[in-house]
Amino acid sequence: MRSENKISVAISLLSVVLTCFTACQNNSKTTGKTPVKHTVEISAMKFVPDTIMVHPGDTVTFINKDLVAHNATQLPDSAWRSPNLQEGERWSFVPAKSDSFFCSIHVVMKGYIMMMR
Amino acid sequence: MKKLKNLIFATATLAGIMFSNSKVQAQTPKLNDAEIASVAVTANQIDVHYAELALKKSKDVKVREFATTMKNDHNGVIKSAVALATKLKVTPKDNAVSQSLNKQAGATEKMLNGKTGKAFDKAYVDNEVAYHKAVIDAVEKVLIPQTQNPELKKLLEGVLPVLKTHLAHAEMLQKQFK
Repeated sequence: MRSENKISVAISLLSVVLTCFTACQNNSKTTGKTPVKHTVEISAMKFVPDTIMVHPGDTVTFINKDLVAHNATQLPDSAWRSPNLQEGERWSFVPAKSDSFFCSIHVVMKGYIMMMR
Repeated sequence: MKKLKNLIFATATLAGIMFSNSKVQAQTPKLNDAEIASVAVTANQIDVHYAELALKKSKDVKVREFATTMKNDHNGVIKSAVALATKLKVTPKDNAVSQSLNKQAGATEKMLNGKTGKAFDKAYVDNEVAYHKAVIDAVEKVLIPQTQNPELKKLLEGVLPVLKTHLAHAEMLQKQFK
């Protein structure tokens, strides 16, 4: 009887482990995408593209190709902000959520990062 | 008030007078690349001076931020223009257009100096809207079409979106004074 209990416990544990393994595998299929690198050029006083669709873990890099300095600043409360980028300079970050952003130097320049879950 | 409006109108129509359009083709100045370089540098220097005046006189945060952007951006364009002129061995040549721009700017600065507080802020922003409209018109219709050197032409084409963004920013500020 004691032996049967041990076998039963062992089978239960194995079942739990297999369930977890399968669940983890399924989870990695839905969220474990290889991180993608996105590039936003700042050119002719615009963010190009001005809307970027990203997944968790993706990197967004801003490259300034304009004559004048720019930055990328989260709206509305500057939760993240690039340094001022001179011509040719770049800055990268990993977005955590969807956010609007703008250039705080040229406040009419705006863009949007859309987080796809 | 009437004097202010006249001065703003004068600035706004500066390009129309100096650089012309289809109605006054005969008055369109013919400029060579050395003269165009001079006009470009002068036009940027004028807006730097307006910005320095605003930074000296205004207490409005948004006006000061705008003026800081104008000062930095136009100084940046001047630096690029001078570097290119040096590379091309072109010495900017003073001309009637540059002189007229400076003369008009002197009158505008005098007008701005005579104002304080909100009246100054409004006059500065109104002038920025008018000035950028005038300069955009001149760059599009006269300076770019007449420029011979492809690198100078490319620089002027690159400056155009900067000027248009400044205008949009100034117009946004202008709404807060209405």
